[in-house]
Amino acid sequence: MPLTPSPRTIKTAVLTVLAGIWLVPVLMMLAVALMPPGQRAAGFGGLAIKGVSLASFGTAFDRAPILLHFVNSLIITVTSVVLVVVISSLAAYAFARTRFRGGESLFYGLLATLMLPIPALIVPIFQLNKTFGLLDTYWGLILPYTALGVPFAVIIYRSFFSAIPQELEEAAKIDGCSTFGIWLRIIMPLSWPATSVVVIFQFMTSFNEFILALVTMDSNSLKPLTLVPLIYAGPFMAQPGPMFATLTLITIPVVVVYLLMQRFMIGGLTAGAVKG
Amino acid sequence: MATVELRRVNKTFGTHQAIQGLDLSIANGEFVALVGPSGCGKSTTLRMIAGLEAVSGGAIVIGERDVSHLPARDRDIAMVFQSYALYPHMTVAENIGFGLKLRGTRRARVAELVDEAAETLQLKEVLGRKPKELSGGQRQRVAMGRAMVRHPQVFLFDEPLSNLDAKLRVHMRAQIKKLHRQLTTTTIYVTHDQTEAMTLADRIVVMNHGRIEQVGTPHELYGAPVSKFVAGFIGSPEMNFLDAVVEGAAETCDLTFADGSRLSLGPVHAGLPAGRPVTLGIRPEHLHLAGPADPPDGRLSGLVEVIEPLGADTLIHVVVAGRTLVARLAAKVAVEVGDRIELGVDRARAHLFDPASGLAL
Ligand SMILES: Nc1ncnc2c1ncn2[C@@H]1O[C@H](COP(=O)(O)OP(=O)(O)OP(=O)(O)O)[C@@H](O)[C@H]1O
Ligand SMILES: [Mg+2]
Repeated sequence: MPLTPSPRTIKTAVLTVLAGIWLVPVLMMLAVALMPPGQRAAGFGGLAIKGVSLASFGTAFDRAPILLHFVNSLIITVTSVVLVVVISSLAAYAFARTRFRGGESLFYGLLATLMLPIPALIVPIFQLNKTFGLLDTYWGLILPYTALGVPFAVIIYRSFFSAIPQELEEAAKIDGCSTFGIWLRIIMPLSWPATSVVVIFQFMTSFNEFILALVTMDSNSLKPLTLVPLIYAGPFMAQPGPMFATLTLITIPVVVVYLLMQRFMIGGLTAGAVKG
Repeated sequence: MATVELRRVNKTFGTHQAIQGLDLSIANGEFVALVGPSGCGKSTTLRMIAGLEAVSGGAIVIGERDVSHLPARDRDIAMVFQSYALYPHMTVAENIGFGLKLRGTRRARVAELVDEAAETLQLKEVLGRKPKELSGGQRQRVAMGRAMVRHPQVFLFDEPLSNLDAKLRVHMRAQIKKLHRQLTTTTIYVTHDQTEAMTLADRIVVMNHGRIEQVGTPHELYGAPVSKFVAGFIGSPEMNFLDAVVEGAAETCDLTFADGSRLSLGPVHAGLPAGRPVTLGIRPEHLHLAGPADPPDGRLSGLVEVIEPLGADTLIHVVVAGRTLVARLAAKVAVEVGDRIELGVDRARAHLFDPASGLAL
């Protein structure tokens, strides 16, 4: 038996160390959130606490309508996720399977938009929202989030669709599918790996978005969860416990969505379609 | 069931003319095989009939309907692809029933028809499985089931057996023949395997460079090929070809080969002028070890180069006039590599072709 570790072992070891380093801030957040009230500060660089308590979460729920903000976030995020999935997959299907005048340039134009940093878009989007009367409405966030998410999703879907054997679609055509039917009944059911990537990414970016939400929403009752620490900074968020408890709450849905979707990320769904 | 008619059908891809003025009439219930070398346009022809490829010119008529510009789903045809193209996310039952479901057939009726097809194709045990959990042969049968279940007017097959191993291929060939006898649906079957075409088809269409070279029953193509191309394509092992020049009297058609050896074909081929170059074609099965019954001018002499025993018979490669001929001889033939042997020619079944045009004389 050779004692030198296999490349695979080395890779796993390196990734484990990196993941550990990555986790430090998350663990600090959890440590502070779970710290019993009255304890001044966590030891060991913020990682060691004496005892565990949910009191900070209690404070957060007591002082702020967390659930209301959570529902706001969910309405905005889920709607934009659904819109991105539908719009991008339809567009990507056209890009992958049809040749139309200007199709190539349109696609590269789409790619170029990925290079724009979001802060550069804040002012134009604010102006647009103002013009269309979307300020301080859910749509004022849903539409920009969707628009910003579409290019990335189109790229993911297009490369995935291109790998689906054309003969599957031809078989469906002969079986009686329209083009829309093929998209609905063949392409989309086969594209769960792509859809899961798009859903996770879009959910994460929309749910965590802060700046656009800050400038768009005026009424507290419409604000998403990410704005909670800011709204209540005065009343109670000055204390680290409830503040970090709220931040913990903000991260939970993203983690849940990731765990739900990741089982679809496995490739090879088209295995067995063609030949043997 | 329906007739299928191609009327001066053309297809161009960019500047490349893949199909050139194809005319073909297929009778109701007929089984027609399209054969030809790779790239001759078999698949393109089939896909135009299916509606997967638009015609560039001409018309396609199924039954009484001109379907040239109808989408595939309105042509009432079914197709079995070389790759099978099964839907990976559906079970076998869903794969077979998909077309029925899309056409609004009641669920109970779909189940009934799927069951019936599964019964015929011995797929009952695997109805609940996904395609990736099937063997190659089972996938092939699912693809057939998907085509059968709708009882279409026309079946289209594009090399449906080429992904199976040799044994399974022979088995499925027999199954397809049996199915066609039961269902009597008009069938167009693309293959590059001439044995498949010979055994399955009522009529064979030999294609070359986007044109039809000859249409006929397997018997006609084997016995009376119109060109060297068809003669070489039909029959296995391939027909032997030898270049020669006609000599002497017009009644006997004496041929002289490159090395000066001669063969007299007799009165069957009479009428060619002396000095005319020809290509002689003889099938391996029309050569035999010369015996007392063979006249001296009806023999070819050559050196044995290779011996291939096949069990039922033996193939002997013999060098005659600088070319290697293949002869199909009896199983226990007493020859050795290096022997000089005399081959008797079944002269009535020899073919002559024009060397330039390749057409039969
Ligand atoms: N989509 C296409 N675009 C351009 N040329 C094509 C296309 N499809 C086929 N061709 C060309 O048309 C000709 C006929 O192709 P086709 O696929 O019909 O051949 P085939 O007889 O089925 O050959 P094989 O036995 O290899 O399947 C070929 O020269 C091929 O390169
Ligand atoms: Mg082909």
